[in-house]
Parts: sequence; structure tokens; C-alpha cells
Amino acid sequence: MSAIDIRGLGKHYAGTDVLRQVDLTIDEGEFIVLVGPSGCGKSTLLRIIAGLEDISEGELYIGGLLSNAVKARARNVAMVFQSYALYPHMTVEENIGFALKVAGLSKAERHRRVRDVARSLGLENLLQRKPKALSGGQRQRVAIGRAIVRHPKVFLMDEPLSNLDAKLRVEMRAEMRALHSRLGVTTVYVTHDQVEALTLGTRVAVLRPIGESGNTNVQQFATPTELFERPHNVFVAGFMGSPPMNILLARLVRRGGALEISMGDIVIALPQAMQSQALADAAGRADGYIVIGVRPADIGVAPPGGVAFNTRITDMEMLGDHSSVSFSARTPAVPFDFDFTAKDVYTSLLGGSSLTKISARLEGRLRLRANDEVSLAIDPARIYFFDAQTGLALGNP
Amino acid sequence: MNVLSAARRSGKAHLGLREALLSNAVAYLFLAPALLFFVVFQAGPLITTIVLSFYEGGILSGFSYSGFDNYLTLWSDREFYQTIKFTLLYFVIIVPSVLAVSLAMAVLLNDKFIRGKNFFKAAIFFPSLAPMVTLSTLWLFMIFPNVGLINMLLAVVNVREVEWLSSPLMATLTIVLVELWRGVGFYMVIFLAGLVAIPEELYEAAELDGAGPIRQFWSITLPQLRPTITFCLIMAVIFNFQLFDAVYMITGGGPGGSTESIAWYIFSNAFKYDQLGLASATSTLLLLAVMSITAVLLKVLPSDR
Repeated sequence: MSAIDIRGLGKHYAGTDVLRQVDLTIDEGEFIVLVGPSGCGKSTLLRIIAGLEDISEGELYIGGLLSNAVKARARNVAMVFQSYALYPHMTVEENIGFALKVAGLSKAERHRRVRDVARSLGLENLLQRKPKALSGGQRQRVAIGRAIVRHPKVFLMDEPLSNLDAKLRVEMRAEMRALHSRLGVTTVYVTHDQVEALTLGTRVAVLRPIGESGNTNVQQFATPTELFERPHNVFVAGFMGSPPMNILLARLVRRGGALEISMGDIVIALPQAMQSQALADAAGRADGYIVIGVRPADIGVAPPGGVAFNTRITDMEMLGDHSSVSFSARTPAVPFDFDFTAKDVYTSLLGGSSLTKISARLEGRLRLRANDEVSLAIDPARIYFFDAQTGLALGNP
Repeated sequence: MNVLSAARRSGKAHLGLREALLSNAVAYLFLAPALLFFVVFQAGPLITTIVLSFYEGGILSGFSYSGFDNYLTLWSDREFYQTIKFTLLYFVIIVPSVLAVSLAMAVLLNDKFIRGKNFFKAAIFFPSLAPMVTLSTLWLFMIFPNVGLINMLLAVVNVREVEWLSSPLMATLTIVLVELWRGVGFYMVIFLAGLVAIPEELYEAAELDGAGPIRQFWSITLPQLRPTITFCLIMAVIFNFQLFDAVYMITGGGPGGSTESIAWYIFSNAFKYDQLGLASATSTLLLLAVMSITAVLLKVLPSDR
């Protein structure tokens, strides 16, 4: 039995859709991350699961029970808020023990469970402090303590690390993973940070703000590896990964028996093995346009004798064991959140600038400077192909 | 060289002082209206009252120094004790009830599901703006025997006619009712301001912790409203110890002097019996009483969330 089952869920405020046709099945013990840019409905979806927002349409099952009309306090879910929402007038002990007090547990039992949780989170010495006397990281632990002390069926976390500094965030990510593997409670975690999503989630749902004609917010619901390696569409490809994927409008042309990708002055021949039917079909179309994606790490300095192109470096950052370099291609960029459902895709794409900045992550300690001419190569096997009409993936690596 | 530089320095210092005086003079000029207002209408009367409390007589009969005689007179005046008794009785009824009712109204009107909130807020706040003379006259019409609206409504539900002002208890309750009606709007607005400042997420967290509306009220709303409650309590203490206009308009201190308040006693002595010295002594005691209670409340009650 799944822990949470969301079927055809929709939410609208005053006629504006925030969520549309959301279907997610979350298994017992999974750590699910909802990720997406601002306005994609991830927090709304989390609040709906919590019972803090009504459902406009569709069904929500928690532990197999239809929960659309079940009050938040009866759902046995716990939530860690972005602001932590600790009760300012209560001590750490009272904050953690509040739910147990409401549930009518004896003082001794409350005391025991609060102490256990405090010990596991390193809060034993802070139990008599009020939240205002705690640091950000300590408050965050109290918020987690308040959630776990009740042994809920589901943990909901709404960007719990976003108020912490970068170093503490990395530490807390590791603690979150450890906590989840120790407790094994189904967790739904909301973030806009794709690094958090990839590092924490057993599965990740990538959400997108719903447009006029979008069918659903959920762009892909898969494991981090799958999202990274086989993105369903341009949105997922561009959103997941840091630094982000270079996404360009290119032309697929058949020269002799072989297919070539033409990005203005950069032309890459595709090996025979990669020439799938989908690509052949795309090349056969009158316009021959295709959207391609290349991750910065998949561009390298050309090996002697390899398939390469010459370009001039426009910017360069030395980052220790690797360098981040930029160069330009004479072809339009495709924004990751481009609306492919719009009527005239090419007019929008070709109407913009035709000079696109491409980022590459070059390994090793290179002595390159801006304006240097360099010979680079893109591994054709690492190029992602998307339909230029729909933005959907075409036989990706 | 040293002498020269010292002279230069002192010249500069003189110039600085003159400039400072000049700029301060401008500042005092700007302050003057407020200062004048404070001296004439606040500090002046306060000091005069305290000074006059050591004098016998009034404006018509003239003043003569009497030391602590006025205070000794008050000490043995049964009528004064009666006014304290009434004021305290009124005080212990009005303060909790006006705060409880206004808090209840504020909590109700802060609920997002209530419709027409602005109308209710305006309607409840309106009596706070109207002069007491108007309000009291309106109430006198409403509680008029036989033809008063309230008795007529009571007759509809077969309750026999209530003699609103004929007994000390009913007269006291009538004053409480009118003051309650006047005060609720004022405190409600302050409570509403306190309520909207409570983060919604605290209620959401409490909801997820299993707390229902009543538990949320006791565990979140009340503790979070502590500073507002403290403020309202102190305001209520200050306002209600000075009860006068409702007594003047509705009962005239009756029946049999049972609703004479301390402020009424001060007014009667000062302007009816030309005993301004005695009235000043009473005012000084009232001031001390209000200050002491306020100081105790500020000390005892928490002022932060």
C-alpha cells in the first residue's frame, strides 16, 4: 500500500489554476522531493497533503484513506516549516512536547520522549531555552524534533534548509539523510534547490508553474539519476543540474548518409550508432530544427585528431582543479522554461538573439584566458535531443 | 606657537558654543508649542492640584493653608468610603468584562470565515467615538420604564418590567452596561491589531500538532497576546478609575448616593460645595492609587511574547 496517493489533484484560487492534474504515488518509507521554480505549486501541494489547504479537485489518499476532507490535526502528519514556526513563548522542551501534551500523554511519558528526541538531535542542553535564544541551526533541529517526537505517518518539510548558511546546509543535508534512514518515515520535502533535490530524494518530482495550456505541473517523477540522465523534456533538463545544461536550437541536417548537428558555425557529426529513427524523422522534417542540450561537463578540450571545433573563449574562471569557460555559438538559446505549447515556437526562438553563451567545465589546470582561441570537442553520445515543436526528449543517451 | 594655537582653539570653541546655543534656540522654538501645552494643561494643573490639596476652601470662599487636614477629613469621611466602595465594585465588574468581551469580539472578527467583518468592526467601534452625553441619552431612552426599548423587548419574551435605576445593584449594572458598550470597540481594535500580528504559521503548526480551536486559543492566541492584554488592562485601569460621565448622565449618583464614584465625589466637592482643596486631595489620592496599580501591573505582567 502506498503511503500517499495523489490522483488528478487540482487547486485553483479565484479561477487561477495553481495545480492541475497532479498524479503522484509515494511508497512507504520513500524520501520524495518536490522541486521547481517559484510559483510551481510545490508548497501548495505540500500544504494540501498537510491539510492546510483545501483540494479543488481530485483525490488524496494517506495510508490508503481518502483524506480530502480529513482535518489537518487528524492526519497524523508532521511538518517542518520554512520559518520553523516554533512557539516563541514556549521552551524547547515545551515546543517539542506540545503535540504529546495535546494528545494527552502523561507528564512522565512526555518528558521521556522529549529527552530521547533531544538526545538524538543534540538538543539536551537547550531544553529550557526559548526559541529566540537559539541559533538558526538549533531552531531547525527543534523544528525537526517537534516533528519526529510524535512518530507521524508522514513528514512534510517545506524548504527547511533555506534559512541556513551554505556550510550548515550541507551538514544538515547529511543529517537529514541519516535521520531518514534511521527512522524510515515517508518524507515529502519541498525545495527550489535542485542540488538538495538530487542529493536527498529517493525520487524527485520536478514541478513547473502551470501555464494556460499545460496539462500538469509534474514534468517528471523519477530517481535523481534518471532525472539527470534521461530528462523527459527541456524543462527538466534545464532545471536539474548545476551548472545548468546548455540548451540550444540547432539544425539536424543529413549530409550524405550521416546526420550532422549544425549550431551556426559549430557542426558536429553524429556517429552511426546514434542515428535513431526519432532523429532521422526530425532531420526529415522540412525545417530540420531540433533542440539540443549539452551539459557543461560534457564539453572538453579536443583530443588530438578528434572531432573538434575551434572557438574563442569569451570568459574564463579558474576553479582549482577545473575551469569554467564560456564561448559563443551562432544559434538561438532555448530557455529551460520556454513554453512549447505557444502557437509559433520558431518565431519566438528565432526572434531573439542568435548569439548564445555556452558554458563548459574543463578539467585540469588549463592556462587559458579570455579571447584565447581553443579547440573544443563535444562527445556526441552525451548530447540530449529534444523535439523543437514539443520540447519532449528524443532518444536521449 | 603654543599660545597662538591655544588662542585659536579657544576662539573656535567660543564660536562652537555660540553656534550650539543658536541651534538649540531654534530647537527650543520648535519645542515651545508642545512645551507650553504640557506646562499649561498637564504639569501645571497637576502641581496646582497637589499644592491645593494642602489648602482649605474653594474659589468662592477663598483658600487658607490647612496642612494635611483635607487628607484627615477624607480618612474619616463615610461618603468618601462609599465612593471607593462603588468605584471598586464597578471596577472589578467592568475591567474583566470589557476586556473579555472585546477580546471575544476581536477573535470572532479576526476569523477569515466571518462575512461583513468591516461592518461589524465599524458598528462595534462607533460608540467609542460618540460623546458620552449622546450615548447616555440614548441609553436613558432605551431603559425608560414602560416605553423603553429594552423593557418592551423583555415584555415580548414575558419578562416583567425591569426597574433599571431604582436599586443600587441595577443602577450599577446599568452604568457597567453603558461603559461596556462604549469601551468594547476601543479594546477590540487594539486586540485585533495584536491578533493580526500573530504569525499564521503558529496556528498551522498547532493544528498539525493536533490542537483544536480552543486549545489553539489558550496555547497560542492568549500567550501571544500578552503584551496587548497588558496594555489594554492598564488602559482599562486608568480609564475606569476615573468613572464620571456615565454616573453624571445616567444615575446622577443615585439611588441614595449608591453610584457616586470617586471622580463624582471630586466633582461635587469642587463645583457643588466649593471645596476645591478637599477635591484636590481626593484627586491626588486617586492619582497615587492609579499610579500604584499601574506600576504593580507593569511589574507583574509580562510585556513580551
